[in-house]
Amino acid sequence: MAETEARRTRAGGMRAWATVGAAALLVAAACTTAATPGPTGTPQATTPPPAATTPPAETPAATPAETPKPSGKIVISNWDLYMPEDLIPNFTAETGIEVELALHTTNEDIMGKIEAANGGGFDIVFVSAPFAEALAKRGWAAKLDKRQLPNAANLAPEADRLEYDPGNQYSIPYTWGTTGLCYRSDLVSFTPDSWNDLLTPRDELKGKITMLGTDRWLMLPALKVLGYSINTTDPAELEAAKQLLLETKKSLLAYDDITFYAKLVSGEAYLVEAWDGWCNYGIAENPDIKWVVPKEGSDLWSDTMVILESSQNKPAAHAFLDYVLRPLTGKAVAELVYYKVPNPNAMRLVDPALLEQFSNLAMTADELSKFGQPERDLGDAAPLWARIVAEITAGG
Amino acid sequence: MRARLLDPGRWLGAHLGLVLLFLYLPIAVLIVLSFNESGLPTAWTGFSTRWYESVVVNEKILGAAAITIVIAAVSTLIATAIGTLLALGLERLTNNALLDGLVFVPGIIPDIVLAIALLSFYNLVFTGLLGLKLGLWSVIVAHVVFNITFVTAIVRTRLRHFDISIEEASLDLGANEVTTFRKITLPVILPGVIAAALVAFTLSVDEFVVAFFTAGTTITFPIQVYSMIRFGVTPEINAIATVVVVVSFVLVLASQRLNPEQV
Repeated sequence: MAETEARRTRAGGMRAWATVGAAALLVAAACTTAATPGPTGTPQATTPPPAATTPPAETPAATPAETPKPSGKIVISNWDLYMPEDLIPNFTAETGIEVELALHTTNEDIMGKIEAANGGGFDIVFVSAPFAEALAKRGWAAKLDKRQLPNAANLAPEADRLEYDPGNQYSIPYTWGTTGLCYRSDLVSFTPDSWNDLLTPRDELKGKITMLGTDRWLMLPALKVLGYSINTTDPAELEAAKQLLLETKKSLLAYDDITFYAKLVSGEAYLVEAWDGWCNYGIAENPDIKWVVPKEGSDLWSDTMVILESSQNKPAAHAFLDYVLRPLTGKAVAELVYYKVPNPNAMRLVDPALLEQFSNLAMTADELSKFGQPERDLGDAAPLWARIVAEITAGG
Repeated sequence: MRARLLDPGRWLGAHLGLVLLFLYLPIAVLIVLSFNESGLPTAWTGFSTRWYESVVVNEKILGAAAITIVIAAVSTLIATAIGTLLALGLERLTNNALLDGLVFVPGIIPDIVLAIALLSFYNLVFTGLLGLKLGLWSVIVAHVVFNITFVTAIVRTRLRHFDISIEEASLDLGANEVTTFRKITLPVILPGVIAAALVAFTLSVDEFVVAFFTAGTTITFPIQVYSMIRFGVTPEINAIATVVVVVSFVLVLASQRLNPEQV
């Protein structure tokens, strides 16, 4: 059974509960919008919130009375298929805020676009953590107003202490997870538990392993084995990692960021370096595929939501972030992409069958943060990293 | 036997075969996998047309394809008109290497450079001063920019073999310049113009980088496909790619037939 169809079926189930939820919320919203038919785009400051406004059951606290109700339109850029299809329609139905969704393909793409537009063009962008840090450093990320994010209280305490943005001042983590080994337990004669099983593979694995090719994750296993920080900018440490990786390259089937799980299913590969969520896409096809986080530790990646400083409608952007932080929204995200959300209240709602099928989906915030180190923006060392990575992938 | 082995025609044939194999084997694999039953992009499990079926009902993909066709059609029309006139002017009225170079540059500089230049320009002038929002129009203008280059180059090859005396005959016989252009010049160069338009259309349909930077929130077909790669790598992508390959192939074939001189 293809994972996509399975995912679509689940999406269908999700749509069912969402319809029920949306219907209930529409009743509440109807009272509000009927009373305040303000033109979109203008804050409805003149109209006091009607007394009939009942906060939806899943919102723990309504926005403070003194803030005008957010309205108008926002523009978001995200990867395609990263949000449940009904997330935006439901948000619009409930809040009246229109959302225009643009798509990007990589972090680098969207950063280039923001750069060329001098920090403008979008209200909210979804980017991986180091890029959120870079946006904050450039002054392009808006400082978040936590009073407008009551649902931020749902975040795990660990998710509020991530080094790239302590206190989540400029970004809110959308999903998080780690990187590890994904392997065919029926084809590998032992139980892998170390990055060395990948970097210096036994004979049975030679030509049967793949590694991620994107710079941060290409370097990660070697840096961990050598005991260095995954954010190191020390040329000597990077050089040592390079030597190790060049040696590994001889036993490698491929650098593969996109089809490594399919290679496991087909049996082309036996052991691959994998992001947790993507290993799940393989497990969905073949239950003999197993997941392990190596004992040396790993990263703690997160994809974040950032409001841009140039946004003309920050209240509406905050309302969207707050909507995503609701437990039911987080549950829908986790069940769609098989990524963990940093929201224990959402993870508690996730279908237990899924947590059992995908062991890494059940990892807790505590487990994740114990061995996982967040990626940081490399700043001035980015060119050095790029050169080392090019020497590995092109050299040898 | 020995004579046949030494026959250069046989070796050339083998060479041609190997080159074609090298060029088309990956595309053949892509097409075969578009009929793959399973949801995996690389592992074969059985024959099925389900991915074509799911593409056909996928509104997001169809919507993006419609937008791309509008962009390609409009930018092709504009670029072909401007490019043809530019070709006439450059070929007939000037002999200036610098000018030739300038006209060619937008087509040969890396896409990313053109894309960032255009976005910066749009932001400064249109969104900054005029308050316009990027969208369909800004992609069309951007595609016109590089398509003019290719249209001009292709039409010029046709003009180079143009027998100017038939235009002179037309003028001698009393037709004015406009009639001469309409009845003599255009019909003669028309195959070149159509070939240029087909190339421009194909380039516009496939183009990603420039469109991504200048599209605002408009989602073109290539943007849609690339953005699916992170979470939706299924044979659906192979199916779409197969359709694109077939359509591009037909267009290029048509342009070659119309303009045999162009390589």
